[in-house]
Amino acid sequence: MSNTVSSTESEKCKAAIEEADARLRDFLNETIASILLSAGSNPGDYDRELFLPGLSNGYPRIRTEFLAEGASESWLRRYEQNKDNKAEGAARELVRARLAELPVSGRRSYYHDMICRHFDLAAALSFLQYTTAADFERRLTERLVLGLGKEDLVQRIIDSREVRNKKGHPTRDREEHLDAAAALEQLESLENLVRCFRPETAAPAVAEKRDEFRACAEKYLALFSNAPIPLAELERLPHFDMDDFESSRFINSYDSETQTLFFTPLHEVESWLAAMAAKRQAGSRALAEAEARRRSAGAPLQKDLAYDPFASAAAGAGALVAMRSYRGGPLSAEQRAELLENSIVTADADFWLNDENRNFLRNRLMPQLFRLGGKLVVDWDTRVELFCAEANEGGKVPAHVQQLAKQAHNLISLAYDTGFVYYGGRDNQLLSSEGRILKTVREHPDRLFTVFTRRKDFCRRLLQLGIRNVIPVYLLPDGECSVRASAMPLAAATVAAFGGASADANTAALPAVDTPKSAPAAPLPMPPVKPVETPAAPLPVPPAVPDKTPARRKPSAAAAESVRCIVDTGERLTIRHLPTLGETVATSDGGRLTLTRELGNGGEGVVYAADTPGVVVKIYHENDLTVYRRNKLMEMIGHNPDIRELCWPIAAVMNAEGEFCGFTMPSAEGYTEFGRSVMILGDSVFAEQHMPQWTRRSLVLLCRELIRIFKLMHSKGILMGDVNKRNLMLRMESAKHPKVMFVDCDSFQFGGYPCPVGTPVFTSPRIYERLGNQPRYPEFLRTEEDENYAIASLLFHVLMLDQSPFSGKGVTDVMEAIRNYNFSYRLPNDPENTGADTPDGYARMIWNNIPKRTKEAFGRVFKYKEILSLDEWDSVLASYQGDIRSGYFTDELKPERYWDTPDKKFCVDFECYICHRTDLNMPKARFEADDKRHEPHLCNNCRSAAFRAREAEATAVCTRCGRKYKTDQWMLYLQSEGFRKPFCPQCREARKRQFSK
Amino acid sequence: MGQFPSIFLSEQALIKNASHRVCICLCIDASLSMLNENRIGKVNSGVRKFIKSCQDDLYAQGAADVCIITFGGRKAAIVHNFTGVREIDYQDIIPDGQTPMGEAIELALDEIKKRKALFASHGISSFKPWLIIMSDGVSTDDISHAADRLRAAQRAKKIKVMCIDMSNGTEMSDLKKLTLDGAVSSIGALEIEDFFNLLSREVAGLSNDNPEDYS
Repeated sequence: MSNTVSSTESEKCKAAIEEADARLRDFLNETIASILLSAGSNPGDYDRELFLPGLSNGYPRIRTEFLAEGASESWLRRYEQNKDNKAEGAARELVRARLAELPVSGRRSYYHDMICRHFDLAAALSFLQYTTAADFERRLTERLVLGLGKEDLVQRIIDSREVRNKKGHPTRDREEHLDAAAALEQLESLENLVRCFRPETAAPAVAEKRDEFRACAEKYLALFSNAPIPLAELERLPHFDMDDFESSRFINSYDSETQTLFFTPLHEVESWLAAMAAKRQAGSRALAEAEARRRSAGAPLQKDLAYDPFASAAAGAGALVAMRSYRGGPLSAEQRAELLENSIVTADADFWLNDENRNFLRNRLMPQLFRLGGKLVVDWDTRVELFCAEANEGGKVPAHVQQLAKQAHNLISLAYDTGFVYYGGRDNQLLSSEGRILKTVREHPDRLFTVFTRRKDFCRRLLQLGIRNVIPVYLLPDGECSVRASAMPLAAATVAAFGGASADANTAALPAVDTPKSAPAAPLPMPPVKPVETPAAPLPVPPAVPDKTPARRKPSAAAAESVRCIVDTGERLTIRHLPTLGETVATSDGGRLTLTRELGNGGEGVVYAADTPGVVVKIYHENDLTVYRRNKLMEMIGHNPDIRELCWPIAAVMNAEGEFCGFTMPSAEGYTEFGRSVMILGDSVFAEQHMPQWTRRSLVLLCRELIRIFKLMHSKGILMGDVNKRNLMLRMESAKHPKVMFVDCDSFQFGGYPCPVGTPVFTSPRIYERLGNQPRYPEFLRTEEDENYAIASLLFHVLMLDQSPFSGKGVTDVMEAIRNYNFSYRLPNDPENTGADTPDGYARMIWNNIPKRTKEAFGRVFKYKEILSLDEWDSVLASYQGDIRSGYFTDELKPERYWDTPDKKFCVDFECYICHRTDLNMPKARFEADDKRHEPHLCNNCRSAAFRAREAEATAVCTRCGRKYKTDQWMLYLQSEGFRKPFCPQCREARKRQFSK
Repeated sequence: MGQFPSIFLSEQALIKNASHRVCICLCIDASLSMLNENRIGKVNSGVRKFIKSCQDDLYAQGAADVCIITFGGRKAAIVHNFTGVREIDYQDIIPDGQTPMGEAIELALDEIKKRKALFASHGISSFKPWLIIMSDGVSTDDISHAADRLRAAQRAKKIKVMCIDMSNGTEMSDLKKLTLDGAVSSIGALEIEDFFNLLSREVAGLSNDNPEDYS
């Protein structure tokens, strides 16, 4: 597996350590030299010198007689042969071999001489190794630490020896793993070594060298102490724009492979972003003022103001015919015309800043576009960028670029006045030119765009982000339009999406776009925005194995018997050490991951974020590490279903001893659990604050998306088993195209391995019939029908905002209700169920506003014991979606009006007597009943308040007989409003008898 | 018109927020002995922190309904009726007087019952309610009837009870009578905040559960 550390970071760390080492070497050199100088070079502790003064070929000249003393004949002979040899290696080897034979004192003198003549840090430290506290260190520290007390002195000696020992840090030689943490540690240990010496009393040269080292170390310590910032975090910063970032100074510290920014404190990026934003804002204001001045100076009005490129019909599938045969090189005239006719055309600011490009736009593109009835789109952000260049904001723009910007700006204004250019909309956010284009194409995925740009990396990013509706064009030197070779995949994908059947090999993986032209509401299957599955993903995913035995692929009730359920024997795996935070694990596909952050701690294990983005690691708890789990995981890892919405296990994970302890899976960052998002939409305060764009339509789309994924899973022989909100996550901001993620895949049912858990409310009654009231989930395989029931229950929960189908009024035992198919809601064409059991509150109103076909579908599953296939559900939901679009059924999450035909056959509008709302209605029958009983017409909310009031006791005085009597608050209210006479019950009876005579 | 307008207003929160709820009733000893070690101060700040962490959590902000009952002086009092954690405006408890725990528990059980009925009439599902009793001394009134009621409710699995003894292990015989197995948590003054932290995390953890599973 590739490096966990980026090459950028590693190189920088290596360079830093080398620089610091060099400085330290200087410092120690000075230090030791000064000591030896003052102490005299031969204090009697050392043997006589080995070396002769000077160097020979850069290598110290050794006194041969010293080495010769006691040496063997063969060694002497070899040394004679090699000592004058130009190749130093042989001679050095011989010296080393001889030194190894020498006693310690001999070696000591060798190193001492090496230090004196020819300073080598390794030699200095090796020398220290051969000395004891009694000699060199004492001398060293005596000179340097005068004035210290005895304990301090001893401590300094001990400290310096410890630091010196640490210098042999394990990562020192494994340079490919040198990351910031290792570099920091190295630097700190070097710093500590220096700190052990206090050379104020020694020579100035020593102090100078020490300071140089210090400055160098501090610089790098500051640099490396900045935590790496992943791209995901950068993108969350306000005003962050990838294009700005790529052309900034930060790009030198940014590693594109791991998508991480190193060596930079977050606040520096933030302030730079703020400065960019401020610059843009200033430019934007200035531009707006300039525009206003121009208007007031009487510039001619733009012709044809009603034209809005986004309002015209989108290019449907199959719009691009001529483009289908395009394979690169200059675009033919028909191809160009086809693009201009069917797409929205724009150019980025960089394209405008060039003479040839500008002339092309003015002389050829704009007129042709105009003849075809279109206009070139220039958005506000592009204009601001050009304006800032022209005005030289920040003072760094070269003069010729300023000139180009001015010419571009003039051209744009002129073209706008004469009707060739359309000013694109603006919103509160100011982006770079390319950032705006990116945003626009993402917001309109059903529209085709032609973007004129010179920037290769912009095209690459578009492709990486899964954009499929852009053709990027640039100009060849001869003035022809062409698509760059490196951008061909993007163009090919777009042509496939808008060109119908003919597909490139590149785009074979894309699902076919089969939306009919008249129904733009059906969602285009868009790949997700997260680039986890791009070719740049660091972990190789095992290839998909689509072939499985038919019995496994569709375990129907009969086949389930034939596939044996593999039961957990409970046999545990041994493990010596469970990896935790900060440790490194090995993966079964050959990589290494460090556990950087704990994300969650569930029943079976702990989930950690890893140092590789897009991947998380689950480490099982010791008690849950069983043979069964490992076998199940290996089976799952061996069969990749290739469904991107599934957090399917990628590889197994081993600890340092090679023992299995968990697995890796894709990360679900940016997704929130159902229980903390779509299931709490019943809380209007939460919905308005966090998910404001969600409507009933979003819920229906979400249901259809769930069905689509389940169908895919079932076709590959995977069942979720325990279908409930715990395993599901979604993106809260994806109201228009809900994006879902299925997590906890290791508990899914697959290949004979059952799902060992279940939720009572989602378990099909058939399971209870087959296996009793307390089914033992780890011991049987669920069938597709079981799963379909659970999915139906899930769909119900989603559409009804987390109400269960069986929690009717007066239901004490939900399990009983499930087993007896006591569906609490009223079905059409069902005379016996009066709907009295339906829970009060919003659930009734939602149910009332759901189309008949959907209600019947739920009825068939929950009451009439039928099984609906997923295809049937999809069809039911598609028709619900159509009903919402046509307006026949409401799009509100919590509807307040009763459903009625357009000619108001069943209900009547009214004004609520208490709260005076006029936007509500009620069934005609209820309206007439109110009138008959002489009671005010109330909306549901006030009506339930009235119920409460009826339960609140009160006493009143009868105006007829004067007696006090017990009544309730509601009666008091009715009396005070004149709906009832203020009499006690006896007097009321008396009056009735009186009037009936 | 009587009390009708106030009834009307109190319904609004239940209409706007129809998601699942958990009723949390805190019964807090407000007798003078709580001034030792500033236990009452820690409890006040703990409750505030609990409310704040619930408000900060996506799920808990709409799920937690809190009611605060104190027993001090000569009778038990409802300091805060059941309100959602968003709307509650917590006032510090000021200790004074005796420890009428029995009365407080009865009051708590009544309030919980009323609240559940209210939920039912709005079609709102709720989890098993939590009753948390925090005290540092012996009750000054008779708790036997309340204890019977409480134990019966626990046996029927209709309520979750946590008894917190803050007397540093000196006197807790009364709290022991309230749980089925006599289990009582002893918490020192310094650990009160941790307890409330744990509580708010438990509320957030309910996001993955269904109330029906607890019927």
